[in-house]
Amino acid sequence: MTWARLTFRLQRSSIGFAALVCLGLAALAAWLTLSLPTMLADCEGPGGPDQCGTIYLFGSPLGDATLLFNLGVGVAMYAVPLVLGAPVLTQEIERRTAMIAWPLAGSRLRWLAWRAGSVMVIGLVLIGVLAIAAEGLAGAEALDGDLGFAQHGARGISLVTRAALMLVVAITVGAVIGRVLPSLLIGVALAAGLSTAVASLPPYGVESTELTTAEMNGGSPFTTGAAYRAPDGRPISEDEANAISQAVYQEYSPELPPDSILPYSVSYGVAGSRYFEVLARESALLVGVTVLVGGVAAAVVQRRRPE
Amino acid sequence: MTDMLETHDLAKRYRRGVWALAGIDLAIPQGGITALVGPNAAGKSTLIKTWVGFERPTRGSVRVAGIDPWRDRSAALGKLGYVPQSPSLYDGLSVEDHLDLARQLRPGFDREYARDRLAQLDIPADRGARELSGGQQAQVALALALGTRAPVLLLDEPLASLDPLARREFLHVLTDAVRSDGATALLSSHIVTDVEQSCDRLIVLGVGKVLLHDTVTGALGAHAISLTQRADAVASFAAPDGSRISLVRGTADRPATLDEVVLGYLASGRPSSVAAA
Amino acid sequence: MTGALTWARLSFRQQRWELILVALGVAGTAVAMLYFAFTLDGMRAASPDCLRDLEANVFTDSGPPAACQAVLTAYYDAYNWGTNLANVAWLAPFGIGVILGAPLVAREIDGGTAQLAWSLSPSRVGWLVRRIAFVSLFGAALLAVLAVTSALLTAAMFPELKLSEDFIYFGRRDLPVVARGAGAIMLGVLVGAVIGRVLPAVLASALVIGLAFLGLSLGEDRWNASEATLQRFQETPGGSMSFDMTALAVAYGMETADGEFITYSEANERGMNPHIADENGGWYASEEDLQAGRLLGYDARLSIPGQRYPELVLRHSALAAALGMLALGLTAIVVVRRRPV
Repeated sequence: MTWARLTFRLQRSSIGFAALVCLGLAALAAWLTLSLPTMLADCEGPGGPDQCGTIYLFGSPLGDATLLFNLGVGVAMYAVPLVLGAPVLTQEIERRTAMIAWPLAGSRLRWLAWRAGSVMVIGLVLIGVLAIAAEGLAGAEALDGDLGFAQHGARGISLVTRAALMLVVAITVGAVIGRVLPSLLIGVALAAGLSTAVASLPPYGVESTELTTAEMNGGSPFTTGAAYRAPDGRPISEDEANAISQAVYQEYSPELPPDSILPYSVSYGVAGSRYFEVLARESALLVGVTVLVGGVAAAVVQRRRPE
Repeated sequence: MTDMLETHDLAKRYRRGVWALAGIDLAIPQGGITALVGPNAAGKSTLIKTWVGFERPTRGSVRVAGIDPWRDRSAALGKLGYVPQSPSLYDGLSVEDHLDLARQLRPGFDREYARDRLAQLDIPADRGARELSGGQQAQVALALALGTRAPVLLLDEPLASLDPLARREFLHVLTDAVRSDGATALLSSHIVTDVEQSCDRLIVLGVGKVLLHDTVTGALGAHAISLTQRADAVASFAAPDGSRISLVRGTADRPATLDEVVLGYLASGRPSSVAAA
Repeated sequence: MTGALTWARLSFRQQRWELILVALGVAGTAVAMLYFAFTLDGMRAASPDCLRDLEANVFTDSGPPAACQAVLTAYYDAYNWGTNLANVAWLAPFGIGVILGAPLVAREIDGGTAQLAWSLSPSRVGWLVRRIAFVSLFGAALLAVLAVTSALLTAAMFPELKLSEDFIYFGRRDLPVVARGAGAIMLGVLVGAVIGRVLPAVLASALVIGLAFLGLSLGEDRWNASEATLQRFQETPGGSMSFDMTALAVAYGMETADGEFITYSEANERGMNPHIADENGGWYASEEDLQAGRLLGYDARLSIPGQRYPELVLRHSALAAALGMLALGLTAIVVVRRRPV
């Protein structure tokens, strides 16, 4: 445990912050996970889920806490790795301890493996706890128990892989910039970019199919697009669908026309049952990019001056 | 003659109960350079910082030109120029910027005087602080202190990390400035040879107490070395050849060097010696 | 004047990284705000038929004409960007407080330069005020730009509203953006002065600023609640919605049979359990109660009318500034008393 003690002493404020955020959010998730079933069971009675939804929004402590948790996870999954990763090298360079550490270690890569590796282990343990708690809460929130793509990226493995990539990006930025605060600021911009980029990548080449009504209503599918069908099921364009709708509405006005003579839309995407296929591809990609960025960090450390 | 730096029963205890200073009475008269010598953790920096107002005394009082910095910090600081232990310059600022900063912060800061001092040492004014050598950074810190034209200069081990040539240059600038301005300087240092060259007075500090306070010539004249152990010795210590010699007051086998005077008093200040006394 | 300029130059150099990055961030956001404000205005001018009276179009059974679909999609895309940018204007004062405030004194202590500065300056308070002045003015100027561009964006997003009498995007435009920023910077400086190390100060100030403004917001909610008026969702049973959308909503809940306003949480705590609402905004505990006409109360809220927007802007800004002044006073005490290392 010497490495853990030394790592903590070298970065106690950022590790303390990360632990506070991750464990605090995990505790909140655990409480919500335990409380939600009772709350939802209450809502099963008169009034049904719609009224419960209203109660969530307007004043229910559980509703507020769930919203707060989801917001917190969205920020923490990038903020925690950034706060942990950016100071790894910048502190050593700013305080000139790299001048002692690098000659002592003999190999800078060995030093980096120890220094960054230990922070990664601690960071991933903390993020892992949060990811498990978020997975549990998402499961409790899913009324039919089938999660599918619900909260993808903010729970379980998908959260850990994103956080790991951000951690390595933060370490690399710190290695390049060499100063804590600028690295944090540039890291915030990169986190926003990374978040947008990763959100736009699914479904990673997994073929989109027309989603059935059952697939749409249960198991949270990943939708990639929509198409229109004429009342007889023939594919039509959006303009055609609008034109038919206008004509039908005008014909029946002021009465509403029956649904059977109106065009309808269908959704394309990946059914929730194929979630793990997408998750596996995403994880492989993100881990690959993480290793690549880690290589860049190693190259920077090999070449840069220690001050 | 007015005493420019005074302490009365000054004691300072840190949080963990360690006494850095334990009842110090000092009065340093106007003019000249006084060396403050002592081992690590003797309390030299703490003593200087109480005069600057950076450390609050646990007991007793301090005065700078008759002003208690804990009663009127502004007036006391107005009489002071200070060079910290490590130069601690602003990374993002050039030498010129530091002079501008000092002029902004300190009413009456003599920017041209400081600039001239640095120019004499060929330190480029447009060079960033990070790009300066350790010796040059120390010179900039000294120029900032000298530019205050303060009657009292406090220098907290500015020579510690300098090479011999840089030390010589630093002391030359300091001595020249003090002599020409009639200022009073207190220079804490480990290096006795430097003290001998440039200082008029000597204070030896050990385990939070003043072990010796005299002029350099007075200290040299009042002490001698005995090649045998003597009961009335200030202390005994090892000579470079390994034999034991004793520092005594008055006359003995040969005159003492300043190095031996300091070593003798430092030896007398060791905890075992204090206990024996 | 020369002295002030010299001081500004030196202050800038001491924090140039943060100042440049923050300025770039604010400039980028402001440009984006102006771009989307002009885009929205331009779209309305180019397609008046599609974008006139949008609410009415959305709720018409036949929906908008087919030719308007593309325009509407583009319009709502721009509108969503506008919403996101307005959220940036809400977050920016706190972010700037952390980035510019926390390192101000912390770096001087961390880097040892406080020893130099505090020995040169006869007054530490004087040094502190001057040290803060430039950064505060710089931050306030940037936030003022953001506040103005955010107000222009809001006007473009809601052309039908009279923004000087409307609480829409309260805290995301106008003076509160600047006042919150000034308060947050001072809080950041205080945390930095107490902790004396840059990174811990940055992290701790994020928490402290968040908590301080949360406390301020809760305190203001109570103040506002004491002045708010009660509004039923429907003034008359079966009538149209009577909520004044220009007003500041202080709390949502229901008006009980005896005329008291309680939030939904309070209703649940009292065991009233409003589960079913009828078409008149009346709440019932169960289907049986609905059938039996055992009414718990009517949908209602507490609100402050839009005409009081300027007054509340000034009050909120004054409170944020007072929080900042309190932090500044505490910082002065810390700086005067603390060691420079």
